[in-house]
Amino acid sequence: MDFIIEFFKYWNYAGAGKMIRIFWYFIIFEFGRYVVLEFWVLFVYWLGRKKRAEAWEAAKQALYNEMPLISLIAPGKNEGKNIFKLVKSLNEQTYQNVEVIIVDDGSDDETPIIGRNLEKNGLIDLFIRNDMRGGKASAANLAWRYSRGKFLLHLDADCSFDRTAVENIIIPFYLDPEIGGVGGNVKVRNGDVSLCARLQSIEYLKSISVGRIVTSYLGIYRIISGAFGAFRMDALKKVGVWDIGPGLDGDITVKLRKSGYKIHFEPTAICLTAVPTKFKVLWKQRLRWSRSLVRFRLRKHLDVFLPHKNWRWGTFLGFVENVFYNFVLDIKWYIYIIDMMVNFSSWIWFLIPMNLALYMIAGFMQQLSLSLWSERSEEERVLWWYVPLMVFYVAFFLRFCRTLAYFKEFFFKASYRDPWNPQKSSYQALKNGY
Amino acid sequence: MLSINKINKQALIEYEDFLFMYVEEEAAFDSEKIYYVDAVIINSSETRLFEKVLRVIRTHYDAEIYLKPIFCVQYEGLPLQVIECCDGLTDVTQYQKIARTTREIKTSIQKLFLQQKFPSNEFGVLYKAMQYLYTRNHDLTPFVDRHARLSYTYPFVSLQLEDEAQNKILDILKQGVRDGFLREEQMLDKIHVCDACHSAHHNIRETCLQCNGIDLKVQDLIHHFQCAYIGPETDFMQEYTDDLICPKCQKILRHIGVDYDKPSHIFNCNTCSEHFQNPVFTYNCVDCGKVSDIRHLQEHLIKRISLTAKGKQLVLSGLPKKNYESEGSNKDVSGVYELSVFKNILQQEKARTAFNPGRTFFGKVAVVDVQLNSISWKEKMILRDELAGELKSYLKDYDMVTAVSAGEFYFLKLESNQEKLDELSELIVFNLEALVKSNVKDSQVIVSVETQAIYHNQTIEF
Repeated sequence: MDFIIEFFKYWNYAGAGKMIRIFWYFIIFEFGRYVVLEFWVLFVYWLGRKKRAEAWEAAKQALYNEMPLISLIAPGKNEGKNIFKLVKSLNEQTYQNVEVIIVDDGSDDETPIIGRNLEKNGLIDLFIRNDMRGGKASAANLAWRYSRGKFLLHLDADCSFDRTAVENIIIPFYLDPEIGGVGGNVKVRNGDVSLCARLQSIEYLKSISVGRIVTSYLGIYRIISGAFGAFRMDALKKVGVWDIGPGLDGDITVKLRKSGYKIHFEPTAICLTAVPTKFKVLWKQRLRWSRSLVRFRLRKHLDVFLPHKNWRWGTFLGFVENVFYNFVLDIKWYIYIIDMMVNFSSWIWFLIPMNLALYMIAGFMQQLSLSLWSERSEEERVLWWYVPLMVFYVAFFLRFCRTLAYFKEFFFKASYRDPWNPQKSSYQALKNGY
Repeated sequence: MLSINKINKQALIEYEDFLFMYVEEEAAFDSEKIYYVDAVIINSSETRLFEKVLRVIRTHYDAEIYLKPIFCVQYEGLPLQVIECCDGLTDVTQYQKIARTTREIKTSIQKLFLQQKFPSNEFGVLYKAMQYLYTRNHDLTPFVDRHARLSYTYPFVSLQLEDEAQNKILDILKQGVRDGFLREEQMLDKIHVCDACHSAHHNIRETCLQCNGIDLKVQDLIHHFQCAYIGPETDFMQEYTDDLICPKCQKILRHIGVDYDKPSHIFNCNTCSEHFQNPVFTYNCVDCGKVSDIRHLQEHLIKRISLTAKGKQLVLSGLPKKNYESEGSNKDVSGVYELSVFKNILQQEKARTAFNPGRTFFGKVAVVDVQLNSISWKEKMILRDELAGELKSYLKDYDMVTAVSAGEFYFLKLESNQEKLDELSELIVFNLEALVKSNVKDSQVIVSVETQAIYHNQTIEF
């Protein structure tokens, strides 16, 4: 009780000036970017809803007038147990002029049997198996090679889709012919399994469902999720399809942007995916994801920062935002903590609770915006209880994971030793600077 | 001791107390004389002559004839089916050897109970096969025969059935094994027969999933490690050089395992341009022309067969009377007649229809069920009579029924019309199927009824 009284006394005495001095990092970079800017963009986006709806209807009409063939590809390894669920979900789609191609990248489970069976029974159009694993990129490229559609949808086998997902992810191509790729709205299907999955549910809603509306609106949307992304076939050919991963979904998005295509995020094209339910598995996944920032943004596509090479403002700003918020601020956070420890060591027990409180307030405000936008707000209401824990999840778990990944990639090029990719491919990628 | 009475190319040879028929030419073979001879010796390299003699003798209704020894004179290149179906190879001087074998076979025949009536044609074949095995005192060893429908011929047994019915051999022998009369010995082969005509002669080929086309091209898939491009070999091939160049990054592929690998293959259909990795394997039956998935081929095991003690006992003592009379005949059920009687009545009815055309109908009822093979012949007979009785119960007192087997019935329906016949057919199908299903485990029975009005000048085939 005494502590609480002391706490409020301290901050009353400190005043706004000192608060800004102490929490400048939060106010400028976190609250400014993720609350103020997002609310503003979402508000503007909301204002344009009628105009957007009219354009949407016209584009939908154009899509159905043309009825192009759409190739749905699902490359993967050991996805046997998920394939049937995926196919069932695809069969329910409102848009039916599709071909389904599944590539089995050297699975050692029952995938070949299931895939061949589905092909034989006409539930999928083509099943291709590579007896030797070549990696995700080569599997996707193989599917692309045999795709005949005007558009190609890259799917993860462990995903399922809203009935209108395929239709909704294709319509944006008819809104703007310069769009080369459209990202779908990936949400968590197994959020109720564990705390780990619950926290990821909130994270996905923040960073994808709402976060990408904002980045797409600002023209700095930088990653079409591999779980659910649509591409124009000619655009894929032009950029030379997928290169060796990990992080190939971000890589191809950058390649499309560099080739002059616009990238769009479609919040109504909804896909549900299964996320890791254990923190240990999640840690490994995020290490892999985070390494790609160094490998692709800071190495392979460094030319984005150079005015004389492939200069495009949208791509540049997207990269800056990505590198700044993930890489620079990650390092900056440690400096900030040291600053706090050195300069405000005697009041540290007042600072930490206030810091957490501020992040929680921001978290609840973001959750409010999610609820306003989500078509599943009723089902997602339970997530409100977990918002306070997001502070620890984002500030510590994800941050430490990112830091370790950046360090290992920056100094040791760890992604080239990642067993996610076969060694033969990683060796060539390293040798040739991919 | 040896007396030869030669007329044209056929001779009657007396040796010891035996009389042999000696045949050199097909035209000279007199089938009437086989009653009086103890064995037949064929001296010819013409397969047709052997086929004729074998067929005439082995398909005879009299056991003393169909079990008669047949010898052939050794010729180089004599077909296997001749060698295997005869009782021995000889030369014209080896009468002593021929006489010895003939004596052994004759002695065995004399011990047999010469059964004349059988509960079914199939059982008749089985019984004759058992008699043959007993008198020859060796196993029944099928041999590869490219002229045979099953691609295997069973000595003696194959001759008992028409070419189209050769598939029944396997069922008959299996039934003999199930009933304990025969024993399966060494497995010699597996055959796969067409599910339509039971021929083992077919061409197996890879076909397109989409259009069933056979014009397919298979190519390796090449994976270029460096840029992750993967595609068929033709994507990498050049028109004027042997180099493999990646179409994505334009690099030359130099070393398999280092620059690239071939993780799989893909088929391209030149008919419909479809791509696939796993073509459908289909067969094209040489005999009936059916094209179907090879999964529809029926697999059968070809085994050497021997006679058991129970089988020996049966051929020595004959069938218990009730097996081929009360259970094996159509007498018990009123209005159900023997086939021969039925045929006679049918002839009379045909004559009668000259004055009253279109009012008498002939019907054929087929009961098809693979599960029938799993029940013993006794059960089959019981089922046959039950089905015949059931069938008769839907007909008037003056209508007639005959049962050929548990799967084949004929009836005569007097004073009726097509409309009534159609209703009756429906009723028969429904009730007979129900009856079979209640009698036979896992039955998938299909009953069909064909009817036709009969006229006085019409030929009716059974």
